[in-house]
Amino acid sequence: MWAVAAVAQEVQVGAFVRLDHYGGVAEERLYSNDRVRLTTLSQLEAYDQAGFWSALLEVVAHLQYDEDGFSTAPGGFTARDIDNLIRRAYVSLRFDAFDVDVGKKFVRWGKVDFLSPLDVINHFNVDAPALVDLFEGPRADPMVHVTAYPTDELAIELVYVPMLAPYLVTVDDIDVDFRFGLLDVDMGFRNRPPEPYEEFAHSVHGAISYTTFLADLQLSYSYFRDQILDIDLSDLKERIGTFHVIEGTIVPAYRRAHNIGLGASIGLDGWVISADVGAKFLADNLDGSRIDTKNPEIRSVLQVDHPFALGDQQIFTTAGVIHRLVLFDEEAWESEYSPFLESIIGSLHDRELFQDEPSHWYLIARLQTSFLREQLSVETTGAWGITESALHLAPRASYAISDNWSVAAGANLWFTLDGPDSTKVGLLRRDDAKDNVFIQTTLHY
Amino acid sequence: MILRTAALLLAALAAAAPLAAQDAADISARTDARGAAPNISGLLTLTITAPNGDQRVISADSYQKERGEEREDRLFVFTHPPNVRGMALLVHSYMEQGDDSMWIYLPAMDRIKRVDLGSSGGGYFLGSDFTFRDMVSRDQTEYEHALLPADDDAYHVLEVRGRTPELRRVFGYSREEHFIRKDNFLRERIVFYDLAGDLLKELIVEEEYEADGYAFPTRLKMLNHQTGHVSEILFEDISFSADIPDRFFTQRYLRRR
Repeated sequence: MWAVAAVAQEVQVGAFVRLDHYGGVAEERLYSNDRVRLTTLSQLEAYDQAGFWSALLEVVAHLQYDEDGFSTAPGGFTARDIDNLIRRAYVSLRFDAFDVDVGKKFVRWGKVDFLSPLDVINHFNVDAPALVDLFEGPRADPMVHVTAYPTDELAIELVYVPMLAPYLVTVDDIDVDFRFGLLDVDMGFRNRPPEPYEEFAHSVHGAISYTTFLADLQLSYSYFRDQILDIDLSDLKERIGTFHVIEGTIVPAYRRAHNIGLGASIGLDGWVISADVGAKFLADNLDGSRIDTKNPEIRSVLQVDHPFALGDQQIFTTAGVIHRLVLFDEEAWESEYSPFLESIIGSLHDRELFQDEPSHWYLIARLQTSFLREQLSVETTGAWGITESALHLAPRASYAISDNWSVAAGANLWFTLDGPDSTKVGLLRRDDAKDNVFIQTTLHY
Repeated sequence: MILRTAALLLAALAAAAPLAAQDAADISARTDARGAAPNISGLLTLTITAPNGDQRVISADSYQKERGEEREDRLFVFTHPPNVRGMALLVHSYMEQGDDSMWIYLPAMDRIKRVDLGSSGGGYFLGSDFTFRDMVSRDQTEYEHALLPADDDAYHVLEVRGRTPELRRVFGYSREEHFIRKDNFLRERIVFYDLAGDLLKELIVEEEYEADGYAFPTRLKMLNHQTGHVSEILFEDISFSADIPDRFFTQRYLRRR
């Protein structure tokens, strides 16, 4: 720090310490993350007053007590935990007409708050969609980020992400040797956290943003290695004879994809209307004719923000509708597998990758208000998967005891309105072991 | 009013000493012209006091700049308290269009979000007694002015209100009374009435910074008569001379100081 201070004209240190307790809701189920956790986040920012350069280092550390005793979370202290420890670390160089950022950082594209199809650079926890707890959701990636500003209204961004660093989805190869057996798609597939940066990604992303009096516009294109998991079945062999034999290895795969997106945000007399539309095409399955890999999809999100006055009370509302169209033609699927194995592969993709239905609808709503001059804040976010008949609720309340000290409580709850109690299908995957309530207290410095 | 309107057309008139047969619009325009410095930068400290004595203090770096006759930009970068540090608010006020473009940078989400002032002045600014609309420039063509009889001969008293019921709903006030000193055209007090016509708030300018023929309020107190809350704004290190680059008022600078 002293070395940094020696060359910087300004050094800022920020930090928070948070103590939280998460506990399960369903008495008959053990909540897999039942825990008391101490989190510290420290931020060191240095910059010169002329604004030519700045540097940011953000470190997150956890000490967790759960049924296995004390540990750093999650799991033991591995090389991956070192990556977890450094949440962000990058240097920024500012020139008249462009900026260059190098290091591990977030870049969020898109105009909507939830599940933007333009937001593909940083990986995202698909197991528990982080609709609310953004601190726990996306993870930063190492990158070179160049932004040019030909005019004050126009920004052109280029991002290069060299290495693959998927989220904490635990994956493993599945060795298959079945005779007359049905493939258990859960077996072994989620047992091993991948080590980050084992493989190259060479992902390239570009965006053009234009700001006008009325609207903000953004157009993006990515040719990237999708950090959402797919599976590679190329080694899977079957012999159909006296004995129906399936053998080989199913390995996790992160495939290259094209993503093109368009976003807009318009302010109209107290209303802000935002919309993002994006299309993602797997590079080796552009037309959706392959059964053994993810299919192309078009995702559209429309969001409206509006503050309502209820007497003296101001209520900030956000409402959105999401449509996800998965492009596949079952009749055009090509494979060398037997119908029996095709049905198994289809099941595997359905369960892991959520492409059992071509069209999926979701509604999202958020209500937020505050009392006592913003000391007490209350918020509820709800997401309803219409296609899945699933509901996610995330109520929150926080109270600022002082400028530095706050307490909060909340819950994350999933419901199925129709269908199984527990499923891995869909963005709103219902699993009653995920339901939780929490209380936390936070000190900011 | 703590922030001024770009009424530069009448700036030259502002220096004229003797007055005769002025109408209310003239007085308002001369008053606005007194505050129409093209560049203003300073450190803003907002202290919110509840009736029970509880206080919150919010600090921000503040910049504003004339961008021609029809546009004025403002940037607030918050520095205190720690849980809002880094948050920033950018406002482009367009006089002719009668509307503003506003963006907020939320560091926790690392995201810039367009926001829009709704009804009732867009709600209270960070829990203070100032509304968001109190903090941005006014398009005087949206207001009508009338001269009221004054108890104190040292002041002009103007009644100011939105031209239409819809505008009054948007502003959050049925009418305002502005107390303007006759000798120097400084606005020293504003009384706000809510949409039901009841007394709501009172803004008192306690100190002003004057330089280069312009004046800017540096210490203001807003008393909310309905709740008993008090919000005070202190501007320090005020400068009219710093040439603030245009690029400060872009989304690029929302993410950085």
